[in-house]
Amino acid sequence: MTDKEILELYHSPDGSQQAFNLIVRQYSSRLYWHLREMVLNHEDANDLLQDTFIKAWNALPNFRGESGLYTWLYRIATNEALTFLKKERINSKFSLTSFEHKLIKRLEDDMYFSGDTMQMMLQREIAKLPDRQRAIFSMRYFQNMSYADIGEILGSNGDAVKASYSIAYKKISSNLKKLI
Amino acid sequence: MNEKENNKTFFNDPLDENKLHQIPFSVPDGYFEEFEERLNATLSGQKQDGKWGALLRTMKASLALAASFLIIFGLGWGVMHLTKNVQNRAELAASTAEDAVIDSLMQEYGAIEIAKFYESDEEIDERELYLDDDYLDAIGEYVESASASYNGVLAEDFK
Repeated sequence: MTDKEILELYHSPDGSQQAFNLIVRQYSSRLYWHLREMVLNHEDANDLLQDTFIKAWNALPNFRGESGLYTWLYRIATNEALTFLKKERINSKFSLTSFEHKLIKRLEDDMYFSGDTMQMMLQREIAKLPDRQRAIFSMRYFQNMSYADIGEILGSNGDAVKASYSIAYKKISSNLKKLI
Repeated sequence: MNEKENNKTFFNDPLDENKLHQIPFSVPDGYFEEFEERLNATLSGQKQDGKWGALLRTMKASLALAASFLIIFGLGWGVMHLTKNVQNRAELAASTAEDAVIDSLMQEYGAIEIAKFYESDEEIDERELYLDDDYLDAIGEYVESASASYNGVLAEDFK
């Protein structure tokens, strides 16, 4: 079912719950992996995914469909993750360990990490990026999203996103070359 | 050739490696299947809250402020009420002491004269018909000193 058909179902009498369930089924997995790449922890990604869909449910009556459902949901999820990470950074200012160290420690302790050494090295390098740049890198590198879509999600333009991704890519590539 | 050298040989740009484009995380078994159910349970809880729940959430800060004010007001009122009781008890103790002294004087010196001295609304000239000055002074001093010591004893009891 396309996004347009789902939205038509949503606006039909008694169709809202069914349409919402379809949205959840269609997008929960993709949004989860996006959030997981941002926060690097299953519990936090799960909470953020729930918050994302609750916000979407509350905002759906006012959704006019000017942007695609897909970018709209990604925008909510990305904002949730960025707000969460901002709070975490503020909290870590009062602790002795830096936020990057916390993220890396979280990654190393994660029982649901299923990658090899090289993938762990890559994740460590991604964790060192600023939050917004990490979101851009994750959406482009892992989910192969277009610069235009990423720009729409982040409220930026495609060229700025491309430049940011290019900087992140070179930084990570260079650091990985030194490590292997 | 060790693993490090092997990696250097096979790719110039490590990020070109296909494997690295895969997300290296997993989720607990059945996570996505159960997610929809958990989410719907959360949302139905939110719906049950309804308009009143939403209103309560909006007014949470105002309600907290009002509750704080009521607590402070209640504590203030309670303290004032308790203090007032203590004052009443002290007054009661004092009057009880005086009554006891008068009773004992009445027994000792003759009830009629002393009762008239304390209870009469008439002027002092009339009281002088029954008691001379020295006698009145002696009674006054005795009442004052005895009352003071009696107050001390009662105050101890009321602590």
